[in-house]
Amino acid sequence: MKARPQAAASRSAEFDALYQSHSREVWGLAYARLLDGELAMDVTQEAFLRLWRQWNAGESIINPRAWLLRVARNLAEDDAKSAFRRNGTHAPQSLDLVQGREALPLEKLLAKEKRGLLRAVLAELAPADREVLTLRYALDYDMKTIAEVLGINSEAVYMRMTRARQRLAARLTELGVAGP
Amino acid sequence: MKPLQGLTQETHETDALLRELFRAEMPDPWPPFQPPATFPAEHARSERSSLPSYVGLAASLLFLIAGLVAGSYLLRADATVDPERGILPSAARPIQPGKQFRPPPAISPAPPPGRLNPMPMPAEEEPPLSFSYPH
Repeated sequence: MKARPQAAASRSAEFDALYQSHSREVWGLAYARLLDGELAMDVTQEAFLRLWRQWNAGESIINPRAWLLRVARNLAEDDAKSAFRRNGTHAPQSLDLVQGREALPLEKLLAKEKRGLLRAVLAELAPADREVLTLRYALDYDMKTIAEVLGINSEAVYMRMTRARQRLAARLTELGVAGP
Repeated sequence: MKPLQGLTQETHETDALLRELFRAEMPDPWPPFQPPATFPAEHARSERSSLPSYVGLAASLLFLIAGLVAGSYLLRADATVDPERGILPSAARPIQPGKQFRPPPAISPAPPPGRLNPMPMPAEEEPPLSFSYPH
């Protein structure tokens, strides 16, 4: 009789460990698609919930990390498409630049404006480039780890990273956010 | 984080902006995963609850068929009523054993014509035989 609760507890602990180790990179990939932190968190929770259900149904998943990343990517892709349908060509966070009625402190407003512009410029990049940037800057992953997560080689990661940063820098200089 | 080499001042500034953006966007503190505690129970309940629904469906179908059979039987019983002779003996309701037959109460004889309407009614005016339009 005790074996069953013990097995359930061990499974739960295993799942917690999986969540602790991989939830941030799942969030990172979702964020790279959606460019919205809260939506990315929803996608992360949904991906882990699906994994939980699979485990409860007794289905074995050989590589849970790859499974989670794939599910999160698909979920984010679906959500991005539906957001596109709802909002036309602009992502919902582009409305961040619209001034509200209440006055914000100047610094907060400037930081928010900068972030809004940065998001808009990030949205112009290819999703694959955004994935590299998110894993690098949000999670502080090195090239090797990014390559492992994305299933590509380190050279490809380096190329994507360099290209994305140069494009970003050029666009931000044009917009007067960075540079001289 | 180890900085990337061979980059310009602008890219370093971009790095700082990106780091700031991602840190602002990442949930802090990181939310824990809350497994749905009700999921297995709901799953079990959904399996259990499907059984009574099937039973209910079968019972209602049986009830419907019984109603149709009873209805057709009653219609056949109505068909045995002869318009001239009334209810035929086969269709008449049998008297239950132990219950005495009670004849219907006799209809009292009609009262004399004067007592039927004791209240005097005003005499009705007879309509005129000829009619003329008023001018």
